[in-house]
Amino acid sequence: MLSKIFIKNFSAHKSNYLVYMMASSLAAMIYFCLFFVSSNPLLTVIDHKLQNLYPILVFFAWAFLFMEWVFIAYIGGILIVDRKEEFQLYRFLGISKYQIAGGVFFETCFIQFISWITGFVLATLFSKLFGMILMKLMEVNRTYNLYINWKLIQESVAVFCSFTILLALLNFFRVIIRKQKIKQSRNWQYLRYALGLMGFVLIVYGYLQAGLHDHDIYKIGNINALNYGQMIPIFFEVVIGTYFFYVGFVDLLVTILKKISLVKYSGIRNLSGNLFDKSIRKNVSSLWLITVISGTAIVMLFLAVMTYQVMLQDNDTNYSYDVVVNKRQISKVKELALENNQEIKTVKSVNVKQIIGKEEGKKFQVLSFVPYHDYKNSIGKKSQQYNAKIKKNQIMTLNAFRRLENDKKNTHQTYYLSNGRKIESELTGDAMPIGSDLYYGRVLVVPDQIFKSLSSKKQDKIYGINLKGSIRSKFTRALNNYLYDTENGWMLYSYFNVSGNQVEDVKIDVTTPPDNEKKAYYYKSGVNQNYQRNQTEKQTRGSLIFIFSILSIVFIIALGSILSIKQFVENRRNVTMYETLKKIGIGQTNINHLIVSQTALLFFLPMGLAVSHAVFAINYVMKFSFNIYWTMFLVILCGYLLMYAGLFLATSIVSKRQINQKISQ
Amino acid sequence: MEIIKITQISKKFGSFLNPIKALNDISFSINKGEFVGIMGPSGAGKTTLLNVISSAVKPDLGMVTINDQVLTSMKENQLAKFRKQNLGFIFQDFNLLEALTVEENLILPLTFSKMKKAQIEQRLKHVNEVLGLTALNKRKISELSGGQKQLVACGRAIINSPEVLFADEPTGSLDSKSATQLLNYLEKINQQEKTSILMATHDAFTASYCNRIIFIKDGSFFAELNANGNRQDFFEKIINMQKTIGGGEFFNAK
Repeated sequence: MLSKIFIKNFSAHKSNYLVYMMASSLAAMIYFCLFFVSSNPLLTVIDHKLQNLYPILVFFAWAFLFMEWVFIAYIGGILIVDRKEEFQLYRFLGISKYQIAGGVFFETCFIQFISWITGFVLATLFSKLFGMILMKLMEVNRTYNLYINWKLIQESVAVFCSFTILLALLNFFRVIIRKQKIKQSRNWQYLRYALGLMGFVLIVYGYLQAGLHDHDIYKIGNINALNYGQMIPIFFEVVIGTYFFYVGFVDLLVTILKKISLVKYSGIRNLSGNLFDKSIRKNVSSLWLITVISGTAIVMLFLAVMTYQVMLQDNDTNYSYDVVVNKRQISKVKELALENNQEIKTVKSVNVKQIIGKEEGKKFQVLSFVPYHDYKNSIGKKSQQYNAKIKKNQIMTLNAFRRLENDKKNTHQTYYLSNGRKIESELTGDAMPIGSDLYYGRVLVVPDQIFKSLSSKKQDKIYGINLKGSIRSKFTRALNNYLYDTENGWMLYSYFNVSGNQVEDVKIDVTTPPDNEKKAYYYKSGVNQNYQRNQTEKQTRGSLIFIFSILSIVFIIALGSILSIKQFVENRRNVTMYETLKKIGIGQTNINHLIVSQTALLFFLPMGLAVSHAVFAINYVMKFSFNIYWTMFLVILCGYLLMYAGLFLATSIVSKRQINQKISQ
Repeated sequence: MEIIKITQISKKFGSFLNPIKALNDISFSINKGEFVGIMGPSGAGKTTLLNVISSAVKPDLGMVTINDQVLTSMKENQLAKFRKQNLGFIFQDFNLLEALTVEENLILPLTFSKMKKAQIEQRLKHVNEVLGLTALNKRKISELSGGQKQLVACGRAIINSPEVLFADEPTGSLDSKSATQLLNYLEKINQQEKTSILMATHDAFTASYCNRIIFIKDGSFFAELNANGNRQDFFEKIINMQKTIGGGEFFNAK
């Protein structure tokens, strides 16, 4: 009999349970997908050098599982509170609370069983797609085949059992120890207003502090440059401020709007405002958590995308060729390629003159000069896109790893060479000719005429080689052996004595470092192989963006489904009100409008606050003034809002159907 | 002058195989400014009849005309507009919105009509004067007694100056003092505002305020009583009719 009652209840609350089961299935699907992908033999083959992808994927699979448990436990709590009256009715009918709790226990097990089976089926269908996306992001051109690890499935059965039993037990005890007393909440209206106002002030104060800062971790290239002493208080100001904001600010706002007649004389605005205020008061903690987690997810995804972009551009501007070699070693590398059947695709070169000189106000150092036309021919299209635009009669200073922003400021710099010649640089760029490894000191791009006129004791030619097809391991081994053999003498030696503003006794050459001399005067300058490094980087950035995208999507779906369930619960509470509205002659259009505006407020206030927090948080960690940042942020935001809008639409459609069915009964 | 005319109304509930007849071929009409009661035992179909006339429930057969407009052939949107402009409703359980104040509840039907602020305030002032609600305006619904709540519901029902006021057991949840107060106000509204009132009740005292009472039994028309000026006599007639409708003839015969 009890089981029949539970089934009846299940069908009566099907919207809530459907959202609950869909979210659970999705989380289970991601858990299975991550495990299927991480245990795929292809990943072991491509990851043999790194050996870091498997633990990352497994770690996130477990993290998802943990988050799923917390999420389902939380939703379960909401659903049990929503069924308070139903449980009371069972008690009146003479059913003991242990019988009710037992029913809830089996119901939880049943829902989880269905969710996990659905999740497994979905994972079987979609894990290939997940794997293909991961391969694409890691730029691995291999066919990804579906691989189901049966041992993992056996383990998953054990995980499912413990997961479900813990959850079912939690729900069991929730029913047993549920307090019978109805909590009498005091109004404390003025205190709420004060707290709400304080929350608003705290948020604005935090924003002001964040807005006034001018850090840019991507420009500085070092996350430690952030001032944590300032950042942590700002974080707490905004987080605590958000809580207080929900406690009383909306109430205060509605009251003020009523006073100024903006709300009072519009039925929809007045009811929406009042109902939303009431709903906020019941859900302060949930809305606060949703805001904070959504904001964090946006920031996290944005920083992940930025890091991905930085790594990509870093690679384009600094390591754009597979092998970089100077003129002494080019023939040896070509010989090694020939010996090991490694085909060469392209070879490009730049002439370099190395001269002792100094930047105004700084010490003497070796400066590397590159002629304009060699430079233009050596850098790729992607590098040119973000690099400062140089004309053939201009001089540009290159700073490797400046990254991302197209520096519009034409930073003027003056250099004095050892022979007394003065060089004026007008621009600052970051795209290094043939990568960044074989230059000594600051690199300057100069007009061809000036390059010719520079007198240098050391002239070199740096070659960038791109290899054809898949890189042969025989060639890699031979090149690495050659590369790490210090006896091959491809160190750049520089020595000079400085007396006041004069440089004397200058020596600069490529030679083998003798064992008894100070190594400080030597700099490795001969051959550099980038392809292994690039491969590693592709995998790292691919997996980074893959994991963070999934994490963000899961956050959105989880938080959105919490809001959906909250809205469905709210609908059931407000059904009498909608009935009254219908009885007194309020039309269906107005009722639908009211339902949609209720759902919209519940969905978009936390989202709006989260976006606003995210903008200021991002502004704190980096200078938010370049177009590239804004474009990227807007793209991420649009993706987020689209997903949220989808959830909002689904919730309002179901809400309308739910309420209209009830009021037309 | 007829304001409501219902012709051969029938309504069934339940499944196709097991239908329950709630109303069976009922016809009558109400004149403008009349205060008409609908009486009958529990389950007779009073509320269903009221709901059918007020267009909250569609009849299976028959026609409902209010103010020369055929409600049974109107579309949902037209009906909603018609209800909002021409009809007012009072219910046994008040149906006030707890989230709003008294004033906000009173003006609720007008705020959904996009009426101007000045007009809304003018109507509110008038209702406050008629029902003496000014002192309660800023209060919350939870701070009111049952009688006060029903007065607010009454105010909300008449704020749009309806042609017809429907009251479904309006005194059902009130003590006798509050019930009398409410009925006096309804009488005042009927006489002063010329609003036609159709009230479903099973209470003889409440029904004695009406000009005419239609008795229904098992969904069918049973009898009709007209007041002849003296409320005491009318009250006794109602009691006798109730006895008859409830099996009084059978006992009298014994």
